[in-house]
Amino acid sequence: MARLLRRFLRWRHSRKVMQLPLFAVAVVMVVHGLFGPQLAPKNLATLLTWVHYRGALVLVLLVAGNLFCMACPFMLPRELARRLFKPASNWPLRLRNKWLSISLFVLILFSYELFDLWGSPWWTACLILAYFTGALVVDARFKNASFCKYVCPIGQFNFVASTVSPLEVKVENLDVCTTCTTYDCIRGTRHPEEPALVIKRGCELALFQPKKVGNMDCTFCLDCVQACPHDNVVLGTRLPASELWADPRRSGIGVFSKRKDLAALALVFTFGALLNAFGMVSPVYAVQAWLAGVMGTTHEAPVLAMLFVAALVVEPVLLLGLAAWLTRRGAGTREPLLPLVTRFAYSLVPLGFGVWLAHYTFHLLTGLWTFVPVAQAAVASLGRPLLGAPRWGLGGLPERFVFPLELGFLGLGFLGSLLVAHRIAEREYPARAARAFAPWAGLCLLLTAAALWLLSQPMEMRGTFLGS
Amino acid sequence: MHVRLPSARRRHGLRSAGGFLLGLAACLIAGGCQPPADAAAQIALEWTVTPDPPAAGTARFSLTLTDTATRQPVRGAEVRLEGNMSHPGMKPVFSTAREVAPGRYEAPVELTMAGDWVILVDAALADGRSFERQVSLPGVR
Repeated sequence: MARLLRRFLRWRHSRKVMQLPLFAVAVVMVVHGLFGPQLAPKNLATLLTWVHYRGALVLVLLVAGNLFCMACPFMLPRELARRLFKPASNWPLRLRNKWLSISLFVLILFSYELFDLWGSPWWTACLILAYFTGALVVDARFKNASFCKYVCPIGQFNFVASTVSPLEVKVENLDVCTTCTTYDCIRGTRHPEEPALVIKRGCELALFQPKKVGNMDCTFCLDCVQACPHDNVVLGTRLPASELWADPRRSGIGVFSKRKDLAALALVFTFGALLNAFGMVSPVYAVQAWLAGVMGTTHEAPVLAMLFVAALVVEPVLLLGLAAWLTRRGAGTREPLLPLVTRFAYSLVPLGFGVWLAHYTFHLLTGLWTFVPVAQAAVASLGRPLLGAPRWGLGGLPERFVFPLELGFLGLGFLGSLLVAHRIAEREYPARAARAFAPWAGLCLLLTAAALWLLSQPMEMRGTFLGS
Repeated sequence: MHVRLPSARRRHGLRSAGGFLLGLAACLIAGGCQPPADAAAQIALEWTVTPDPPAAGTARFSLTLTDTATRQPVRGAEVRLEGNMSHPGMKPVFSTAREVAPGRYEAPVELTMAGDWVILVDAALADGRSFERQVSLPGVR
């Protein structure tokens, strides 16, 4: 089985085989989103995007790795376009970081709340088309996988979440790499007679396999697996989250503790998880109403913007600033707070992932089979009910079964964050690890308690603003 | 009391224009537009729900159907209600209304969760015409 899988992954068309079904599903979603019923629960665009895709995404990240980037359908038209247009420009130096993609990630979260994207098949279809267009335009103009590495908000989510995944694309035997003279995994396999001609691509995300650490920025595209002439790059197992407490220089990334943009991405990932879940429970209305009263407005955008600033800027700054200050005191150092926060920020990733998991698996599992009647109705609307009459009675698991699972995910995330924070404290302050660790343990506990409170609130399928 | 006159889907301007153009294109591709098959334009719907404001649990809908041309109540219709949440992933709930007075129909609908609901009213009129209307029920607590 393992040998078969290995042969499949090394096959040059393996990625396309995985992309094609998802591309076909994406086309169906777009067509149904634009021309199908505009009631979200009855449309494949909204249902598959906001219920099934998101839930499946986080579960696959938990049990395997970044397989959705591997099978990303947005890359398929881009590959076709690259046969016509050879990208000529390099991605601008000033944008070679995560700030743009963090902004886009926040923008998506904000738009999701403001425009009720989950409730609009038309806008959801437009969002899918925008992704296809964005990937096409960026990668038609710029060399390498610029869209994936510097732009795609889903990609950034997957990069961060996959740091806790059990699978990783990695070198099987480092000794083989030390004797390698071709470096095909990064340069690509060259034509023997025309060295300028690349037959098989190397890593377009600038991850040189022997120096690559972990899953950050890895799309599992398999280019390196297929380019390696020694069959020495594999999809292997590793200890989940271990890359979060290690701090070596990483190929294509640098050092985690010096990357403020990556630390910010980890924080947006974590606090964004809480904010996104907060939007699903009833207290959000009270907070919005209070904010609207304070601001003297009935418009949603400014109130939502204030909520986002509070949750994604003020709250992290205060909480992490306090934790860093306490760590500095406990460890007896005088270093500035910002580098300290940057080093410890990655410890919150498992907890953030636990919250995303709890939230998205709730939707997936409680609405697991709802795609069946919607697909049946979509086919029937074409004139022939080939899939039978819609079975609207199909739903999913009862909430009482899903809730313990949510608690389990949250607990797993909490323990993971404690472990990472402790290992970082040991690495940074070996003599006073416990004192350095304690404030971050307190922060993890506080955020977990907040998440528990959110999960225990009566779930509301949102959309109402100020009760209107 | 919660009274809504014939409901109108509120759409964003851009979305309406885009949707119209795409819909028009789809019609043209399909070989021409079909005339409306229902009697929505000729039937006025007024509805109330109790409790008001609505809460999760059983809500009782009262629907009054009136023929706008004759201003007479629409009697003997088969009226079915389908409740969906605005968020995808929840299975719909169904109910059949009972005519309790000429042109007035009542139906219980089980609102299984707090949040925003959309109620589809589907009626088969005694004269063979059909009628479908979508009413929104936001803020169920």
